[in-house]
This record gives sequence, C-alpha cells and structure tokens, in this order.
Amino acid sequence: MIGLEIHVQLMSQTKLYCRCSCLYSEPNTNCCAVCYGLPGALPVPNKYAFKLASRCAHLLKCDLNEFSVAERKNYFYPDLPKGYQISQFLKPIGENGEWIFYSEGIECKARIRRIQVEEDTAQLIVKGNDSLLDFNRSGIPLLEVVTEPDFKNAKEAGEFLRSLRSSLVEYEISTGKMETGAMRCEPNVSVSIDGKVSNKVEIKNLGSISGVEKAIKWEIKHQLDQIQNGEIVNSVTKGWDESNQQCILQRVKESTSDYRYFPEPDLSVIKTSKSSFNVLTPYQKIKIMTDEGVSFQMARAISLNHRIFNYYQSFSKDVNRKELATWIAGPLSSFWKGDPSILGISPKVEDMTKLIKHVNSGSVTRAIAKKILPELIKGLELDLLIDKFGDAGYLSDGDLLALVESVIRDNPEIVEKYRNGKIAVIKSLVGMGMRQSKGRANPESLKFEIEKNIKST
Amino acid sequence: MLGYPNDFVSFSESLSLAQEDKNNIFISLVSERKNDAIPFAVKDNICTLTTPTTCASRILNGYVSPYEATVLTKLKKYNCSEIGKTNLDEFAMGTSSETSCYGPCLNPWDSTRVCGGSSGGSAASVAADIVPFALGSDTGGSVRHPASFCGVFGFRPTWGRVSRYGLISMASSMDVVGVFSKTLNEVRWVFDAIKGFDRNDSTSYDVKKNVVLRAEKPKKVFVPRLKDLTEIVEPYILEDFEILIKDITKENINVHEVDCNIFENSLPVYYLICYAEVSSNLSRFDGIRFGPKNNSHPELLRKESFGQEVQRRILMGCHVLSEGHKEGLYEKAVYLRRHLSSTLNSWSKDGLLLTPTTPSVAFEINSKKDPIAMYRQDFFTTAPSLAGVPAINIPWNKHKGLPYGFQVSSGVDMDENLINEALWINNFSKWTR
Repeated sequence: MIGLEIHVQLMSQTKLYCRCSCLYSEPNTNCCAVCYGLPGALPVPNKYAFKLASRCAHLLKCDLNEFSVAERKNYFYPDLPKGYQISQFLKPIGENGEWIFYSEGIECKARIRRIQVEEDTAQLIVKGNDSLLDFNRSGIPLLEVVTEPDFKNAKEAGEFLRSLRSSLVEYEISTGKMETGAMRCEPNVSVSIDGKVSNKVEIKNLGSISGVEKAIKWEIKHQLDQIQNGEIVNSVTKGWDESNQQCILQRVKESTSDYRYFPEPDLSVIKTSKSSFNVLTPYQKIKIMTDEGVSFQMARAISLNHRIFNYYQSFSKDVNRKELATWIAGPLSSFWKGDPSILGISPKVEDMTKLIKHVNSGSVTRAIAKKILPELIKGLELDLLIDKFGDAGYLSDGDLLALVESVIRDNPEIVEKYRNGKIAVIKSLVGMGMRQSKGRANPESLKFEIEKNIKST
Repeated sequence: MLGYPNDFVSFSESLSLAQEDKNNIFISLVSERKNDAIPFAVKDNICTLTTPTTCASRILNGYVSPYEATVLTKLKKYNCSEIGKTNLDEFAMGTSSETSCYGPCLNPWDSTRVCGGSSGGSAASVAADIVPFALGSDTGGSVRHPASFCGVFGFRPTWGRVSRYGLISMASSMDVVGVFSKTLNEVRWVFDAIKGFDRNDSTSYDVKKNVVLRAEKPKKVFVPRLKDLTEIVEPYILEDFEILIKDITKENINVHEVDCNIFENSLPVYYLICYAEVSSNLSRFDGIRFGPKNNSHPELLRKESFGQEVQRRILMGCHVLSEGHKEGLYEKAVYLRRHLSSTLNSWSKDGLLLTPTTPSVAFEINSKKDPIAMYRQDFFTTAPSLAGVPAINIPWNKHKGLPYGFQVSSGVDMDENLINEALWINNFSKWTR
C-alpha cells in the first residue's frame, strides 16, 4: 500500500503571506520582515495563491471549503523562522477528491484525502562547519496534496504523478518541475501480507518521478525481505540515495509528533470562490485517442503534454488519427525533446495534413517524409521540398527487384554470413538498400525481396 | 539611562541625552523638540526605527527593528514625534510592570508602589506629565489596568480597528494598540490618527461612520451584581461605584445587574487562550536568531533570557495545546469565548457595561508573589478583551492619594460612541489632580 504526499509550488509571482518575489535570486535578497519571521510582522494572504489552490481543488474533484482556515503547525527547526508554519489542518481548502489515471493500460483511481495551502520553509545549506540559511524560499506558496494509500505498486504511483503533473502545468497551477523543487513527493510505503499491514515507511528527497518509482520498488522489496526474515518493519523516515540506488535510514520516529495545531490568530478565515473550467485530464485524453484507434502507448505519450495533445487535436478529423499519432509521438516528439516551447516551430497543420496524405497514398515514402520533416519545421514550403526529391514515391516493382539484385551482388560476404545462419545481418542489407534508393524503397518489401532472392539462389 | 520613575527604557536618537539632572531631563527633552511637534511615548513592544525594541526582555537586548510599526508611521503624519520607549512587564505579561528586565516601573503617585501593567511605563509617563499621550498595548487589560493605577484615561479599541503591524505579539487574537491620555478629546484624536485598514495587517479594517465627539447619555447600563462585588473589590471602590449607579439612575438610565460569573469565568478562559498563543508567538525567539551572542545551547539561552512569567506561560501554552489536553483546555476555552463574546455584544446593542477597572489601588512593589493573585488583577478587564470590544478606563477617584478608575465597555466597532458615552459618565467622576 502506497500513499503519496505531494508538495506543489504554486505558480504565483509573490509569496503566500507577503509581497516578496518568488523568483530565483541571490540568497536572502527576496526577503522581508515576514519572511524572516521578525517580531511584530504579520502575514497578509496572497489571494491569487488561494485561487490557484481552488483551481487544483476543481481539478481533483475535491469538496472546496469556501471558508478555509489557516492553522499554525508548531515545531522547532532552524529553517522555520517563526517556530511554526502557517498551514491548514481542520478546514483545508479541499477534501475528498479523486484522480483517475491509467497505469500500463489499466484504469486506476486514487482518492485524494485533502489538499492544503501552506508556506515553504527557508533553505538550510550546510557548508563545512557552517549552517547557512537562505530565506528566499521562506514563504513561497505550496499546495500539499495528500492521497489515500491507494497505489498498489511503484508504477501506479509514477503514472499518477506524471498525469497529475501534466494537468497542473496545463491549468497553470504549477510549473511541475521536480528538478527545481517545484514539485516534491514523499511516498509512504507499507506492505500487506495475508491482511497484515506493516508499519509505514516515509521516503524523502526524491528528485524525479523515476526516482519515486525506484525508491518505492526498492522499499517494497526490502520490506518483504524483512518480513520473510522474521524482522519487524519499523515506522521510520528514509531518504533515497541516488548514487547507491537504495533507501537509507534518516530518522526513527519515536512517536507521532504533536504539532499543537491551532487557528492562526493573525489571519481571518480565508474566503476562496469555486473555480469552474472544463477539465480534460490525461485519462480522458487517452480515452479520446484510443477511441480514435491510437495505440495506448502513443496516446499516453501524447496525453502527458497538453501542448502536444492540443496540436494533435488541432488536426481535422479526416486525417488518419493513428497515422497522425505515430508522427506526433514519434519523429515530432523527438524534435521537441519534451520541451513544449519548441512547439512554436512545429509544422503547420495544413502541411502536416498534406504530408500524411502523401504518405498514405504512397506518393511520398515514409522514409522521405521523415527527411522532409526537419526542413518543414524550419518553415520551408512542403511542395518545394517534395519536388527537391524528384520522385518521392515508392519504387516500382521492377526498380525494387533491380535494387535487390544490386545489393546482393555488391555484398557477397554479408550474404554468405546470412546463408551461414547469421540472419540478423539482413538489417544491414536492408539499410544499404534504403540508402541506395534514397528512401524510396519500402523497408518491409525490401527485406522480403532480399530474403526471397537469397533463399532462391 | 533611566528616568526617575523607571518609566522610560530608551530615548529617541534625536534627543540630547547630555542632561545629568534626572528630574529635569524630560523638560529639556520635550522643549528641544521642534516647536510644533507633539511628543509622545511608546511602549517598548512596538517597533521603532531609531531606538531598540526589547519588550523588556533580555532575549531582545539591543534589538533594533528594521521596520516601523504602522501606528507610528500614521502618527508622524499628524506631526507627532516619539521621544522614547516605555517600560513594561516582559513581553507584556503581567499586571504590575515588575517583570521587566530593567526593573519595576514606579508609580508616579507613590514610588513604593507599582504602576500597574503591563503598559506601566506609558501610563506613568502620561500621569507624570512627561508626554500628553502615550501608546500602549492591551491584551487582557494592559492599558486599562495601569491607567487605573496611574489615574489617566486608557483606551482599548475594538480588535482590528488599529493595525497591529509592528506590535510584538503576545496573544494575537486579543492584542491591540491602546492609547493613554489625560482627556478623552485627546484619546479620540489619537484614535482617529491611528485607526483604519493597513495593508500589512490583514485583520485590520476601516469602519465608515461619522460620530462627532460630544458627551452622549447611554440608554442602558449593565453593571455587575453589587452584592457579588463585596468579595472582589475594596470597600472604597464599591462605595464610589454604588454612588455612581445611584447618580445615573437619577438620570433615568435603566441600570441592569448582571451575574459576576461572566467575569469569574473570563479569567481562566482568557489565560488558557493567552498561554496557547504565547507559546507559539514566542517560539520565534528560539535562541538562534535573537538573544545574547554567547556559546550557550539555544535551549539554555532561552532559559537564561526569559523571565519566570514568560517561561511559565510558554510551558502552560504548550500543555494546553498538546494532544490529550487540547480538547479539554484550549478548545473548551475557545468555545466559551465565543459564548461570552456574543453575550457581551448583545448587551452592547442597548447600552454599555460599567465596572470598576481594578479591584484595588496600586499595591506595593514585590508584594504580590502568587501568580494567581496577580492574574486576579485582570478580573474585570479580560471579558472585553475576549469579546474584542472597546473599553476605557475612566480615572475616578483617589484612595489615600492613590488613583483608581472605572471601566466602560461597549460592542464591536462602537469605539467612537463609547468615547462619547465615557465623556458623559465622566461628568460624575470625583477625579481631581
């Protein structure tokens, strides 16, 4: 059983309880009396941050507490200047939500226990014998999403995070960048054997979604080993050690901490109005695409970036969807390299439509179309590009057979190897044929004809 | 560098401190001001730029705030200029101004006695004619109590009508900045200058109403049942209180007696909530960022730097909020507070609440060692604090040369009306210099 606690940095220009900037800058330059927790300073709520939180409540189908209460979470740590964090407790902004997603083609549902708005702490940096504090992070608005322990394995947790992140980015709730700490995840893992549930282990310091998956996988195996050896799984906090690929013990929880929560008297009840916008989650997007004949894997890949999905959706329904998805999830995505801003230089919808039609009719071969794509992205005219190739269609049967003969004639050693049972070398023969034909051969037919030719002689 | 009654703890930079003659220092200080500037004194838990803000605690020894409290910025626009910071109970916790790390603040009427608290220095500085007005802070009675002991007006506004930005918090849900002066006209003038919404305090707000300052007869007056009071207040205070009730009855005012339990119950409710908020508000003084720079362990440093009463309230606060006790202590207090608050506010719909401010006159320094006895000094003052309503101490009379006052309180946002009603009640006062 796995539950997740996710901290999402809200996409606000200013901090949660003062007007300081949230942008990255030199240590201790985006700070004021509130960030430093100076005596006499008071928190002033950032309404926009609560609006973003309300958007997330809508996204996660939470019941929104229109009047949510900020509460003080009291504990001591050097990065906590006031000695308490302004968080939420009894009345968080959202409760009882859910998130539906796919994991390996199977529909999954995770219940969301609560989402709450809270301020980030300062950053503690240890340098040699010095402990340094950077208060730029102090007061940055965070949204904590707490799920029920509804994940059965690491993959489910990972796919949940990927799809949720995609929507957080789409609806401009967060940048979702785990590498900059804008999204942090702490899984709680316990295993259940014959209805007996082990104590939960919390894992911290996870810098990527694949890190979350690896850490959960490792921890599940570790707990199963422990139980098999008759050991007891203790309720502890661990950290993921990326270099050694294992979880290491951070601290033992003696008892549950008492945070002495009470309503923040320096703030009134915070009124946030309901958000309403049409939500299209990655789950729904995958459904739309697979209904149109797209394979699950491709639909999943396209669903995880809303700009790529919007590009897919901007094509007319006449375009062969499966073909379109293949182009988008394949060659185009590798140009974009996951950076959606590159979408600005994606091929024009009409050009792409035409190109796909050419490929479907065979007037442009798939291989030539792939060569044309980078030029098309640069903004060159499609028709000119096709003309440049002269004849861009598939070779005639006669031309193909001539090509096959020439390939076999020029490579007697490789053919010999094939005859001696090393059938994998067929790939190099096909490759040579493709080069020789300048992309005009159909690779499957070429392979078939080469094999046929060798076997018949 | 302390003034004679130990009421000031520091003086503004612009003042000449060359004067050796302690008795004359204030006269020279004040006369050196620009001719037209109005001097005033500030309790040392309100942040100022040019003088340290210490809360009379060792943990803030020498601390100078990088920003200024909103009330001071507002007063400067009215050509007022602060001359210095006044003594108080450490972190405003107390009712005698004795727990200060600078030593007790002495009563200007009798230097063997306390001046009340916690805003003792501010009350004393007005009583001693050093300044025409002073700012204090009131949580459970910290303006009204010393005003009674020093014989001046002390006004606690509605919670939220004056910005708390720059007031070092004790119990945030009850802390307000209050005003001391010798006349209600001046109280009203200062209140008008400092009141209103402040973008740095989200609990502050504006009230749009136009109430002209003039004596106004209250419709109805609620008073504690007189037979209950014999146990609680000194006979000379009770005697004056009975005379006042007779006087106002003659003026055709409907006087309504209320059960003294409301005050009796307010005390524990007040202290539970106060402890809880204190324990959290003072946790920023964690021994790392503030306090003397020595090699003490942060925990030890806190222990060395905080006085006994502060430590008591922090420990009690942690207790009342802790798991297993929170429900029976803190949450119960919050529930009772809500009940009490609606009772008080319902009375204010037709009139005001009139009580003695303090059970006695100023007591001798070091005479109250039992903390509970000290807490009972707040008997009449905590109820209005819990309800967040405005309240005023009216200097009433003297007993053996020592002043005492009566308290009037009203409903939320009725501040201006309350000042007018206090002006009317004040006609019956026996106060003389």
